[in-house]
Amino acid sequence: MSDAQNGAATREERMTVAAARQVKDRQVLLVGVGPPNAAANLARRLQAPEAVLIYESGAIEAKPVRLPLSIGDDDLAETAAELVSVPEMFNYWIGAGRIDIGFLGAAQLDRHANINTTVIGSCASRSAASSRSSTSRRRSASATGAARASGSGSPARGRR
Amino acid sequence: MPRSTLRPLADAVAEHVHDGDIVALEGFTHLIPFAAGHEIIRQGRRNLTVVRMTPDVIYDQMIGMGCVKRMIFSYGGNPGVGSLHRMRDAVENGWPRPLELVEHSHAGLANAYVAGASRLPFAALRGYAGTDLEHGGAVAFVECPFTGQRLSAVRAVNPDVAVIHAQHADRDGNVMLWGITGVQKEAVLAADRAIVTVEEVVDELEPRPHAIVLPSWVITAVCHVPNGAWPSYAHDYSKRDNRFYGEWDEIARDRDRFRAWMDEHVMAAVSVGGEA
Repeated sequence: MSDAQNGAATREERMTVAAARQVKDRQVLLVGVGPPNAAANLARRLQAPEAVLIYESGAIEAKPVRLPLSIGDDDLAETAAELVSVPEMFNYWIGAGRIDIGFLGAAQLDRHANINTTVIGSCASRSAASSRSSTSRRRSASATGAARASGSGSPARGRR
Repeated sequence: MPRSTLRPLADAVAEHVHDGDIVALEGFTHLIPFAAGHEIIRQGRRNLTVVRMTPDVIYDQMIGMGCVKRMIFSYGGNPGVGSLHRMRDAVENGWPRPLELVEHSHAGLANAYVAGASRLPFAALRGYAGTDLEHGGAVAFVECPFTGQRLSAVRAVNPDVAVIHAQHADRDGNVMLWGITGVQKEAVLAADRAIVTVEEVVDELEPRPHAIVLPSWVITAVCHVPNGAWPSYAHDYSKRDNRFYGEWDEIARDRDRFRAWMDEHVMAAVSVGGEA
């Protein structure tokens, strides 16, 4: 991931480290795909070894040995203290507010911490979706951008 | 109740997946029914409304091959890799045909399946606050009759047919899956018909941690399709092929390269699961 030319950290790496530093030990984290996943696992290896990692796939207290690519990699299922169904995860664990920090990967953030997970540019005017989720200023939300996935006027990678 | 029958996959798709159907291929990262999706593509189904939490590579392939008219989904992407380029091409350029989108949050679509499985018209949840997702009239807000809280209501999803992959079926057509079981139970119970591909047909289902058993009488057809989830995986049978998910990003960027890959690996392939 490092810049091959000069060894400097990339913007994504700096963002990931900054997000990881937000985590306090024993906090319960909802871990999203992409940079949030790297940040949560970095925190667990640094200042927050007892942080509880929850993945929306159903893995509760996952302790992945290698960094998973998706939120449902086999390593998460094999190391989780408990596996639950997806409806149970969203209703009993996430929706019920049992998490301290939600790590989101977003396409765009604005200065008010509004989150755009879906569309950048002119596609917002067509019939398909634009999402500007105003979970802003909620202390439980920590978002990292995922700029490389988003092109102008295009549906972007995002997770909600 | 009618019990499921052990069928070749090609026959199960021919009999139970029709043009214009609402079809849900489910599997949350794990146990994604790729082989069944490929059979739907090979049989040239058209005008499908497809439903899925995380329409990843399998729906990218179905969209790119022209099977899909409308997609009801939450999180469209190749997880950890990036955009779905065939889906983008359909949305942005109408290639190979225009694609209508109904977008939900994961919590919303999971609850839409729960309502569908419960045979209720909607589910209530917290969510959709402050979003302008275009959800096609599938979301409204209601007041709790007991507390006055404002909640979101999401319309039930009831597919014509659900398609899932599982590890085991017994010879009576009862099905067992374990590991990350996602929303498959809800998808099967919400649907009118259900096709299940399995890694292995066993004499007897053995109890396992985190397992779900779906009895024969809620399933329409069971098909023996070893490795039918590749490049997804089946817990205790295979690992997720993360390298392929990365390679798909390059394959799917270009229309010609995509078609060549599909022609070689899907269209020219012999239908699997031939034994009944």
